[in-house]
Amino acid sequence: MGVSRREFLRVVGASGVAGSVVGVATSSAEGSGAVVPSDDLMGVLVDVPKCIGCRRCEFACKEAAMQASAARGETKEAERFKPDAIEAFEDKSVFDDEGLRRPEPHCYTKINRFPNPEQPDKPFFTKVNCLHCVDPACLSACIVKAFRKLDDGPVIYDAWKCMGCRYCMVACPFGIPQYEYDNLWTPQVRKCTLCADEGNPNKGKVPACIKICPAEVMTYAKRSDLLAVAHEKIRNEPDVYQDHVYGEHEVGGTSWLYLLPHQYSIEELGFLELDSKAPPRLTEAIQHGVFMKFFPPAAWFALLGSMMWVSRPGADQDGEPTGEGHH
Amino acid sequence: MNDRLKRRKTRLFAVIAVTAVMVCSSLTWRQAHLQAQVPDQTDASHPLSDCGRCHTCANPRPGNLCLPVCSRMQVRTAEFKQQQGPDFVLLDIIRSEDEGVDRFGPVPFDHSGHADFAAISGGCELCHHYTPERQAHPSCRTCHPPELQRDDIQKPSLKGAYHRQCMGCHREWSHNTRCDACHIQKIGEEPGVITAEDALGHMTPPIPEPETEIYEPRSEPTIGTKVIFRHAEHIHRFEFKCAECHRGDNCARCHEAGKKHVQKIRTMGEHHQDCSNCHAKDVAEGGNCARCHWSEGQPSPLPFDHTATGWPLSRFHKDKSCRGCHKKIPYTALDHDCGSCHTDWEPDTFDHAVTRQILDENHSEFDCEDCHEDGAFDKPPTCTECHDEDEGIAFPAMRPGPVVKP
Repeated sequence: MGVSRREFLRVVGASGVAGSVVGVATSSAEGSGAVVPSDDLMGVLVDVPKCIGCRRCEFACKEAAMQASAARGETKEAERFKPDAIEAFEDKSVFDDEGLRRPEPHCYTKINRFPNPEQPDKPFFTKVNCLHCVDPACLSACIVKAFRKLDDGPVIYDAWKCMGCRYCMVACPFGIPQYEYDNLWTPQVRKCTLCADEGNPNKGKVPACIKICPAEVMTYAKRSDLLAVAHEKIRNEPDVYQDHVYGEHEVGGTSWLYLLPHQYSIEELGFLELDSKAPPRLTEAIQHGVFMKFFPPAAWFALLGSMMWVSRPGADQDGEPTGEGHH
Repeated sequence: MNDRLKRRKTRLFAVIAVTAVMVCSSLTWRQAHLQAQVPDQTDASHPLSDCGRCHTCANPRPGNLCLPVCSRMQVRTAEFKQQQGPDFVLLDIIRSEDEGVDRFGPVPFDHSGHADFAAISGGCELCHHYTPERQAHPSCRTCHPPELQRDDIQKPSLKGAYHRQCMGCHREWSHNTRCDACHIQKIGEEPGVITAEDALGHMTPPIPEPETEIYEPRSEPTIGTKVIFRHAEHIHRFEFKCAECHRGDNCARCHEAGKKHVQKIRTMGEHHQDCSNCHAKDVAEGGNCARCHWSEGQPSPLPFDHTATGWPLSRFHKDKSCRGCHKKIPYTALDHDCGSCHTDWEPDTFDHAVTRQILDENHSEFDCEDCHEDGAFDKPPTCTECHDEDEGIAFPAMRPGPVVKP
């Protein structure tokens, strides 16, 4: 892996030029306009109260990532993803021992347990992974365009373009991208690919975690259809779900949508209370605003120029310069 | 001219008025008719507005309710009878979507066992939650398709439906989500032939059966501080089925033995409810408390002895099951007349050898009453009808034929 200096500069140069051109062309029109999810956008509806916490999705995720790495010829990477035997994921002690579990570089998804105050024998479980934002902040923050959002939803990463700045990790409002700090020579940023990465056996099909889920907690379908189903469920079972589909509006909408139990607030379940505005709309507005129609740089140049002009040596003497100075 | 105009106006008015009346009345009638046909009008939970929430057409009628085919929201069940169901079902419709890789084999499902549990709590509709019209006993896949990718995402596919149904209860008391509790074929193992034997009566994990329970009531009953309940006796001797006593209990009560259940504060009536279904007389005011209650240092109440009922069981009845004679629960005293139970008994077809006493040629033609005076079959027979008392012939010193060795 690695990008040659020439190639890197070309990408940076191209994106810089393209960015400024796009910025000039669109900053006034789209600087604060939200990205509207397309009709083709696929999504995943997670029916959190239905989850039984079997953690088979964690297994399937690692297995799919391993197969994808192997198919790309990355044998060392494949070894890192290799899951334990499926029975090992039955171990429930991780919920007690690991606190609030977060995705790791080689485990894109994690399950967390929350006690059910009404039925102690039926705790709740939430699934943490990349939500595949409609308007992804990681993609916006990446200065080398290593992230791509596919038409049907997945936000995927290209290690060949990545220069390792990790801006995406700072930018992500959910703190999802993980860096392979343990990989000295070829570290990558890792996150869920919705099984759309090159070589993944589930590419173009149902993602691995959804396929293996015994209780069918997750439904993979068009995002618009899922939202309709989600609101229908909330309407029919107000004593089960809270009246909020997490991901419908958060950060401008996400491909993953969550139906949450009413017993808890969003934050108590490990989800963040987030604004409906996508972070790139603010950051890009500022960035593009700085270069808007090339006016701010020009104005800045003019201001500095005029200041220099005003403060040039001898500018305080009125009238034309005399020939005395040449003496 | 004016008159004609007037008449025409009047006619027109009349026609309009009649039409209006007809329209109004038909509307009113229709409304009344609709109201009358709404199925559960008295049921407050069935709203008379917002029909579109459940029905897909504007005017649902009893003949045409136009409900979506399956709905979890509205539990609709047929009259199930436990005996109608199969004992065993092999759940083998779902196949893995990966070519050639089946992580888990089919599930042998003990239907009769689960039907027994359902009789304790929830009923058949716990699983059979929706029975579409004119489909007496639909299989799950009538509504839940086996394919994961499907058009209707409102309801889960067959795999999701099965697991939600099973795991909903199983994880509650097993506190795990082990696959091999149901998928008996191990991962990577060649699928063998699965038969009913693999499932029927196999409890996973086995339920330990309490032998004798001794309770120490919180209150201090004047009659004694301890209560005995012989659980094993009720199951094995009295042959009670779980559901006949455990009404409305949850799975964990038996499956999760040893778990400390939250002690509820109950009234005396509630405490005695489970027992009083059968022991009503003992529990009632002035009843026989000593049947279960006793005090520390005293002997505990003894197990049931049929002799105490005034009818010691003869060798012919000793090994019979309770239900062989006592057809109704609770068991009550029966008439001591043999004919009250042996209703189809005929002297002509009776083979005396079943009493272990064979009648020889001289005795086989007699009427029963010749030896058994007044039909008192539980008393020793008399021989004086034929034999003089002086002859010294008397039962059982002398017998009317050979005796069958037991």
